[in-house]
Amino acid sequence: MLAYEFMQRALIAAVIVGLISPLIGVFLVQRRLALLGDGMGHVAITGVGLAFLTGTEPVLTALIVSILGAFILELVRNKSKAAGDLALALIFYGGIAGGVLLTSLAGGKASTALNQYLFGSLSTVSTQDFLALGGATIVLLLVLLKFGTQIFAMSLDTETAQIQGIRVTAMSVLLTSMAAVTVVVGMRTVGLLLVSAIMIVPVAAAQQLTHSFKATGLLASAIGAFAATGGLTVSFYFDVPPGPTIVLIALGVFVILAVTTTSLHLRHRNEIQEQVPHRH
Amino acid sequence: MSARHLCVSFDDVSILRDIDLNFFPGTTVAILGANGSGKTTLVKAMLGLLPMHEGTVSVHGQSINEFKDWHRIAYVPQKLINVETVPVSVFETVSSALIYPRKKISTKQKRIAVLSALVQVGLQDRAKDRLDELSSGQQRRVLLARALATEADIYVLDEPTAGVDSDNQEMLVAAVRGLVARGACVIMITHELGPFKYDVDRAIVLFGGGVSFDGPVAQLPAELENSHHSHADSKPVRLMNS
Repeated sequence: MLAYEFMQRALIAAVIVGLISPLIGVFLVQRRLALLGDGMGHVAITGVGLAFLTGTEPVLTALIVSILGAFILELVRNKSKAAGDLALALIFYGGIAGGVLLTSLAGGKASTALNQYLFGSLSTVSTQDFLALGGATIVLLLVLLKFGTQIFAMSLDTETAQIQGIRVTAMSVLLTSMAAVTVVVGMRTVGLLLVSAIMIVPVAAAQQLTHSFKATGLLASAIGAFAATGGLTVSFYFDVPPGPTIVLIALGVFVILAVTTTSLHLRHRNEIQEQVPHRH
Repeated sequence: MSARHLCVSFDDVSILRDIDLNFFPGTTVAILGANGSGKTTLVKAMLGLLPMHEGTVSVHGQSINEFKDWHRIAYVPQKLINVETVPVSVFETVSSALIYPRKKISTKQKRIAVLSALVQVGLQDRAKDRLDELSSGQQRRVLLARALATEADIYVLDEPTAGVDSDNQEMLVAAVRGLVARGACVIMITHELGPFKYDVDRAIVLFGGGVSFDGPVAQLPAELENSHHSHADSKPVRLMNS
């Protein structure tokens, strides 16, 4: 598998996506915004459609449109009376409708090409994409290093964070923008419709075992990398898109950990109950 | 910390009207009042968490809108932290108080401050535990520890003893006493003075959107001592307006 240059690129890209996505996803889950990545994915579809129509680079156009979508989403959430999930739904529908419309207007092979962006493709990770992905990941890591603790404090308790002088609106916009960048980073390998899953599912799996936020983020990142590597390998040998296989492996890890920890908890509880002397 | 002519309205409904208050270092002040009297609204407006319709708030001589030394204020919210999401350890929760955009605190200093604060609330053995594994009373103590870990000189505590058992309430009283002894101002919202009865220097009772009593606890009419009894038919008593 690794004899092919495109597979080497795809594998490295997938591992990077697997590592970085849960590090952003852990903050989204903490803020109860697990579906935000989905919203950003749908907005990115409009970006890809716009790129097809204008003949520009899809990664760059999707990135610009997604970040713009992130700002609009935060504006709607803050300034209007629309609830967070309603604002997200509006962005969802607008994004996918715009993307499909623009792709249809672009004509030619655009509709077929869109499929590769929706579910990922092994052969579409070009050297240019690879460099863009690396650059975006470095930016994400630097932002996390600089503002990660402030975003954590905001996610934990917004009001107290505000009293600590943390600019909570700015941090919220920053987090949404980071989710938008992560979506674009993952769109070539996992695909726009499933990239949100690689942000969230490893976090859900990791928190079955962990006792702290930091440990959850790190373990989720490892699970993400494992799912990405495994999913890409399955995708290569069975000739199926990598997005679904990566996500299904991550879901498999979640199910195994959830069942194991639940049975261990039940067993532990039963043992305690047996040790308690019965009153007659 | 002071408020001048503070007015707060929501959707044209006046919640607080023309509030004038001063808070001084080395004192413990209890804000009392029935449910819905605007106690939490008052402190949130003073901390800049809620918009004021009219009036000004100043902290250490600076307008709250221009105030930047946020490490000098610590806050214990009324609501417990939402623990139904990603697991957060007790240590992480307490150390989150020491995250400031304008002030860096070393990891070692953070660790010392967090563990010392946990000792003060009797939860030093639970530092590594998940917050959601603690009872609500213990989670309330963690929130107080989060405030105690700071080096603030103004502490705003909203219902700090709610759900905390009587033995541990005494521990919290001792912790608050320590803050006042080092010159801090403690502003406490509470339904009843309870364990703080002998430590509160001044009581402020809110009624009908204004201050109905402001003075030493010794002069507080018995029927106002417990907020549960400050019903709408209580007559406003204004002994002093500082």
